[in-house]
Amino acid sequence: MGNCFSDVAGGRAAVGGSAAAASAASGNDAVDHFLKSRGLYGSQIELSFSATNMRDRDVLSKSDPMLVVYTKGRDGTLTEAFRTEVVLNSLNPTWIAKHTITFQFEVVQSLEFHAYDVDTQFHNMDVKMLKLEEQQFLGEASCVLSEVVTRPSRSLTLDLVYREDPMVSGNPRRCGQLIVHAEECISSKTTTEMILKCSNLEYKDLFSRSDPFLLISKIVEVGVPIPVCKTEVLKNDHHPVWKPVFLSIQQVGSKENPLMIECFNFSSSGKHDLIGKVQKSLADLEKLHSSGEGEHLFLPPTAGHNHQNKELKSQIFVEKFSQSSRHTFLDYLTGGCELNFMVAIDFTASNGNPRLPDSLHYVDPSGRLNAYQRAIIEVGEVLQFYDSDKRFPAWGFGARPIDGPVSHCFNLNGSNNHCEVDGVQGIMIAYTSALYNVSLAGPTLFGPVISNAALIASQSLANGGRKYFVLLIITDGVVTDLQETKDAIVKASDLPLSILIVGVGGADFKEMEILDADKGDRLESSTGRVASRDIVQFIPFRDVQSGEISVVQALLAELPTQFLSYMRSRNIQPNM
Amino acid sequence: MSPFNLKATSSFQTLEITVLSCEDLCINGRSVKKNTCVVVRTDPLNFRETTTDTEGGSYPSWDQKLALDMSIRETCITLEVHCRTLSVDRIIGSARMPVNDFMGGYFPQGYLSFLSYRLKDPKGLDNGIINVSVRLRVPEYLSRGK
Repeated sequence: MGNCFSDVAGGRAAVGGSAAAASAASGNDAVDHFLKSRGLYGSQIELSFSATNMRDRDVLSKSDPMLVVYTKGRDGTLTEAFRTEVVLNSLNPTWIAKHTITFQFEVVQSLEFHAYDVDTQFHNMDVKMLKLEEQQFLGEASCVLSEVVTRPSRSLTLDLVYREDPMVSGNPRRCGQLIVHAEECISSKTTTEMILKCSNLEYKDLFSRSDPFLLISKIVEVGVPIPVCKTEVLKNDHHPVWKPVFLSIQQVGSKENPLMIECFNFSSSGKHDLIGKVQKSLADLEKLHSSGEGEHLFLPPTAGHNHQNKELKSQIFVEKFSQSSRHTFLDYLTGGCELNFMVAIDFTASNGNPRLPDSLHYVDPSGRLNAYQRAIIEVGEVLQFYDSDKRFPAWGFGARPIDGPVSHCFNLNGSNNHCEVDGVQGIMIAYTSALYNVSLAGPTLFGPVISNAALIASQSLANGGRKYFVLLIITDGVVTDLQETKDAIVKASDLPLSILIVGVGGADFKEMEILDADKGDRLESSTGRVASRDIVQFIPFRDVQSGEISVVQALLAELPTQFLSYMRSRNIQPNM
Repeated sequence: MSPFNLKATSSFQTLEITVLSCEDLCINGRSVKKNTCVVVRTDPLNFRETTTDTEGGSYPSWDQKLALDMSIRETCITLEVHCRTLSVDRIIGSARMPVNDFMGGYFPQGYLSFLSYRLKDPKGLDNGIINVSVRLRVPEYLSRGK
């Protein structure tokens, strides 16, 4: 989905809620979710495959290998995704057929590869018709898609292994190597930049102001249009000119695909009124730009009234239209940029005594994870692949370490000197041991951990590092000193840092939403400085129903956009 | 314009400040219509200003880079938003930008800082936000060694 953002000196993104009843796009979950977020990052990747030193199964000639690609679900189930062609008579095949897959930053995309030697009698068949149980199994390998795309060469070499007898445990035999290579599709890299403006937006009623924003959606054959991009909200403006919007060809399908552009009046209640809309493809918008003319907005017929669209006096103009090739998130990764994960855990007394089953910190001997552990794993498992040394700073706050005063930023590993642990497992181990080595106390303050994270980020900057830091704060309660937290966030807003705050437990987190500029105004410090970027995302943790996207995944999905806006605004190139 | 040529002395440095935009400016309780510009100064005599924005209304934008010499002992830069016509020049909002927000600490040399500040009108009331980006120009004799 979308890769659209407003620039650093940013305006507000709209708050969530369904569109007004007059719009055809109302009441749809995808729209609701989109309006609550700033768009998901998905990029089309083409995977190509080759192998070396494969097993020789045929007596008289070499193997004729084919590769089958599976996606692996969280529970381990394999779903076949793709088959290459058969390469004849080779132990070092390079397959021509490529597999197109959408890279989704917020998901751990596990892949498994099975290689087969295809028997001569089947060589003229379409590979899709081949029955795998009739072929000779040559070996298997597995990996996660992020491992492939973060390699500088975008190629990952895996050992193919073969188990002689699945019943016998022991080391599987190595039988060659598989090389998986990823390329980003051109359609993801070509971006259109447009500056849109409207004139003479109609007053909805005499006393209300118009705070307009645009929502651009892709029109699909069946169903409700899919939102792709939205502009910032301009206050009290009847001749709005929004900041440039960037759309990649991949997001909209093609330059000729029709797009719906709707102009809404922002309402803090979440029910935005539709002011008017137009339907244009990117190619149409390009023509509007070159002619300099405007297009009248229209309102669709409301139920019960006449069946005509009502044409409005308001017009939309395309002030700028240019196409270019822009560096993508994956380009920066290939160029050596990293995402560094940091975590801070709330050890205040409101969580409850960790030894009692009703505590949010209860470590269940049966192995069932508590909310803190689930949040750590969901975020850590995705982010770990983007960190080359997998050493993560981990802190606790709001507790008294043994024989000490209350600390609002203590090292989770109990060390006095260094705050890092090894891998996601290291975080889990340090967390459980900290639980029994500290006394839960309070109050809930984020200022110290945020300042500490900001210090690490700025030290890395000073050392010339190309690292972007992600701080995950997991808390059960509302922050006590809101202003000190705001001050720390404003100071950090100019650094390569994003802060994800996950709220666990049943507290009312309404006040915490203030920290997330998506839902309100830009944060202001006590000295009059204003946050230059929105670096905080907040979400209450809740269990998902099957099929729903996890709330933490929705948080993670914003990261590539925040990363890109930081890099692009400073003109930092990927250095490829 | 500054009356002195300050570049030769090592106790001065050059600040490159790009005035980006302002948001939600008001005058006399109503949104500003046009003719705003920004003055960046260290003291009454040392300042630079942008051209006048005639179209942006209460959301003007300039994207203009100004170079201002300042003493290394300076602690604060003042940003003023003026509403200017042929006869009248009013300051409608101002903010103070502490030098520590972009200098010192762990900021690397030549780091481009994006900073925003709350503007206050002459009565001390909030009047919008100003967005700038700031970079210290590295003096020649320091960059030669790189």
